[in-house]
Formats: sequence, C-alpha cells, structure tokens
Amino acid sequence: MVRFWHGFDRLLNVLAIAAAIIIPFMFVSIVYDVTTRTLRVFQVNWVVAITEYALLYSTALAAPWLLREKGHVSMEALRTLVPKSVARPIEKIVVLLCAVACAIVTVFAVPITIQNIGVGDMRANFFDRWLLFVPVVICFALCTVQFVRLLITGESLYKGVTSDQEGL
Amino acid sequence: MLMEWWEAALLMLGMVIGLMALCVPVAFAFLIANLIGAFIFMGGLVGVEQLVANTGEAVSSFVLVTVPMFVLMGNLFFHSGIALKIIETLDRSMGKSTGRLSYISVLCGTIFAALSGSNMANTAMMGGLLLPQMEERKYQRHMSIGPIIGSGGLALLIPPSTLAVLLGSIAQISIADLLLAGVLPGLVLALLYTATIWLQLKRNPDAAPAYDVETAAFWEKIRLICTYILPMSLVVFCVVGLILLGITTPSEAAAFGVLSVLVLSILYGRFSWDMVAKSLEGTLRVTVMVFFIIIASKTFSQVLAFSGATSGMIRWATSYEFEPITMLLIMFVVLLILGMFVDAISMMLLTIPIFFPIAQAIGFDPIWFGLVMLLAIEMSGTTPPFGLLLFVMQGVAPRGTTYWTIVRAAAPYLICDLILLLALIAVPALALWLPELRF
Repeated sequence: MVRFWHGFDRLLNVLAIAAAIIIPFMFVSIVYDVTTRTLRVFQVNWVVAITEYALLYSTALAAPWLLREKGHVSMEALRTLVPKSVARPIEKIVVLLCAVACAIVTVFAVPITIQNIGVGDMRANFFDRWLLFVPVVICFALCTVQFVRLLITGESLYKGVTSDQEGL
Repeated sequence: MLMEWWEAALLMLGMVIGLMALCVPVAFAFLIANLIGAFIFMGGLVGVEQLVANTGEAVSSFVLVTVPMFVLMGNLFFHSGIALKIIETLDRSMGKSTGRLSYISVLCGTIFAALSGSNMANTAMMGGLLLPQMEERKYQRHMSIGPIIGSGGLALLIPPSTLAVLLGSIAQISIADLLLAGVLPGLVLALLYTATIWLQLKRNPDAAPAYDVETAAFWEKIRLICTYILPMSLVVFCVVGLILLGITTPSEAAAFGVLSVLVLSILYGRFSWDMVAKSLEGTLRVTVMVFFIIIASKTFSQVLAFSGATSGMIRWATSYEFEPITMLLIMFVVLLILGMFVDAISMMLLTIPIFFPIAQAIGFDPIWFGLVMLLAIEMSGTTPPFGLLLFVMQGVAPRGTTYWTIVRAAAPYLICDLILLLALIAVPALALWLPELRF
C-alpha cells in the first residue's frame, strides 16, 4: 500500500507540474497573438480556443494535487469553536461526503466523455468535445482516491491553521 | 411546483452554508449542494447529468485567463523583490513627521494595489515589513495595524483586481468596465484613509511619534523615485491604459501586465528562474483553488432558476415597492453579514444569481452595482468574526496582539468604506465616468 501511495503522489506531482507549465504557455500565446494581430504578420486563430482548453486542463490536472496539499479553502476557523472530540468525527463525515460527491461526478462524466467522441466543439471546430470531459474524469477520479486515502490513513483534510496567506 | 420558491431558496442556500459550517471545503460544499439540488429540481438523474456536463465548460472561457495572469503578476512582483524596493524608496523619500510609517502604509497599499490583485498578499507583505518597524518606533497598534489592514483592501477596487474579474465573469458584465470603474473610488478611498490617519494624529500625536530618520538628499530622492516608482507606471499602463485605449481586452491586458513585471524584474537585475518557479507555484495554488470552486458551483444559479427561487425572490423583492436605495442597503447589509462567515468567492457565487437580477429589475447600473458589491466584499474582509484580512494580520502581527485589538484598529477604515459607499450613491459618476471614456 505504501508503494501505491508513493506512486499516486508522484502522479499528482507530475500532473501539477504539467498544470504549472500551462500558465506561461497561455501568457506567451496571448502576447504573441496581440503582437502579431497589431503588426498584422504571422497571425494565428487558435489562441482563444487553446487558452480556453488550457484553463480547464490546468485547473483539473492540479486540483487533486491541491487537495493533497490542503490548499482548497474552507471555513477552518469554525473548527476552533468545537472540541476536538467532536471535530474529528465531523471531519470523517465531511471526507466521506466529498468522496461520494467526487465519485458520482466521475461515474457520470465517463459516459458523457464517450458520447462526445467525434462531436465537434462549436466554439473551436478543430477540437472534439470529449476533450472537455477527459480532464473532468481524471480530476474527480483522483480527488475521489485522495479522499478515500484520507479516510484510510486518518490524515487530516485541513491545514490546522485559521488562515492562508495565499489567496485573493 | 415541487416546493415554494422560498423553500427551494432556503434549501439551496442552507445546504451550502450548512456544509461550509461543517468545514466542507467551499468547492465541495457547492458540489454536494448542487448534486442534491440538480437531482431534486432538474429532473433526477438527468439533472445530475446536466450538472456534470456543465463542469467541462465552467472555466473554459477566455475572460477567465485574466485571473491566472493577474495572480502571476502579483506573485512576480512580490517574489522579484520589487515590492521591497518600493517600500524602501518611499521610506527614504519621506521626511521626518508624525505618523510617517502610517502614511507610507497607505501609499504602499495604493501602489501595490495597482500592481497586484490580491488584498491578502498585499496585507501580508506590508504587515510583515512595516509592522516591526512601527513597533520599534513605539507606534500605537491602531496607528500601525489600522492603515495596513485598510490599505491592503484597496487591491479589490484598484485594477488589477482578481475579484473584480471573477465578479464580472459570474455576473456576465463587462470586466473591462468594472476594472476601470474601480480606479477613482480606489483613489478616493486611499485619500479617506490618509485623512483618517491625519485626524487620528491630530487627536493624539503621540500615537505615532516622529523619529529621527536619515532621508536621502533631494537629488537622491528624485533618482530613487525615477528608478523605482515611476517605472511602475509601465505596469499600470499595460493593465489600465491598454484597456482604456481599446488596444486589448482585459484578458490580453493582464498578459501584458505580466510581461511588464517580467521586463522590470530583468531591468532591475532581479530575474531568476527560482523566482519564476515560486511565482508559478503560488499562481497555480490560487488559480486552481478559485477555478475549482467555479467548476463545482457552475450549476448553482441554474438550480436556483429551475427551482423558481430566483424569479420568486425577484417578485418578492419588487412587490414591496421599496425605494431603490432601501433595497441597495438591504443587499449591502446581507453581503456584510454573509461576509462575516464565508469567503469572498462563495459570497459572490451565493448572491450574484439573486442580487444582480433584482438590481437590474430596480434599474441599477450593473457596473456601478458590481462596484458596490466589491466594496461590500472588501469590508467583509475586515469584519469580525471571520474577516480573512483580520486573520492574515494576526499571522504577521507582533506577539501579544489580540484579535480584538486588530478589529478595533480596522474600525475607522471601515467607516471610510461606508463614506465611499455614500459617495458612490450620491455621485454614481465616481465609478462610471472612467468606463465611459473607453474607446
């Protein structure tokens, strides 16, 4: 089991690195697009469509990693108001609820992905619509596994602090 | 009809708030509530299927690229050390006076707000750097914590504001106009903060005593300002100027904002791959956290509409024939109360599907109303018990600073926010003049 989780962690890391690389890619594409459009040379028409897909992919690929890193925001301050003996069982229920919700989305997303094979995206006709749902399946499946992991190992879902300085 | 509109509204809002109160991460709280809501109000499993189909399209929208670009811009700005140089320059350029560091906080907060879209990052940065100096100079806590927490919040109004982009995107109003609408009110708020410090010092000059300071000679000051402050106008031009001139959309302008910070970091000799890697990691964390909430909450407004809650609420709100101003204040108070308990994004996701249709039915300008919402969100960051900026400040404040000391220090700045609200009601052009100039 330890080896499995080790491999799982490496997978999440690789996906997060891929998601991080997408960000400068979007930046370069937009600057290139505006510059070539203004200069009217070497113009391309794929930047908007690619960027829209890139936003989804970077989010979906890194979301399970962020879950492991305890980076999804919650009203953690409320936990300080209840005794630990109550907070812990509530946390278990919370993790279970989240695991079930993610599993439901995964189960529903698989047939939707299959149905959209060969169906063109109206916004960008060079893409098939199934490409919109693959990251959803990967993201929610991996989140389900991560929640199940929390249930098995007993690790906390929370950071253990009342605030995070990374935010808006 | 399955339920009365108010029962449906209570069920949906109650589920999200209840789950959040159980400390379910915000994104998953919306997801669980939406799954249940879609099943009940959107035709059982077909509704759930619709919800899942929506998730793929939730963030694949070009306008949202502004969010990672603005966040990256702020991260590069902080990790490159440019922010530090700005504080040092202001410190060396300002002469000996009472409340010197308090004024510097407001100046820094205003400049940082124009360079970074994160109020939390700004507050943490200024708190970490200026608070220890203020402590050393025997500043009383209300003169040290207050200006920092107040001016940290300016980032929500002055572009690049990430929350303004999200609000514009969720409410489907012009993001460019909303960003431009925040410029003047943001500057007015900075002036009000400065006036507050002046008044506080007038009452008690010992609260922030003057101290001997080695300021730079006149020409050295000019050199420092030309080197470290004036070049920042390049960033402002890339973000605000390009939109105003109609050369780029806000999303494209955000990418040019990143480019300008990168160019500045190279010119200052502060560019490194390590800095880029750290900035990317910070950007990824914030962007994924925000976008995952949007993915999970995509169907929320749809469920509210299907259940009849949205139309019911509009009928109810307009049936009382309240004066528009009364309705605005009711919505403002609801936002403030909600903001005491939930974070800014959840607040927007919960209220925009209800408030914007009501505001439009009453006849409010959507850009103006969006700005009023941003102001309420800014205020909610400093209202107890769960204003996030209060916790950020507690994290960087000197040992022994109690939570309530921070709350008390922030109070006069909340009053400034209220004065700005009144000004916006009395003179809507304060917000709408600049967007009208756009080409």
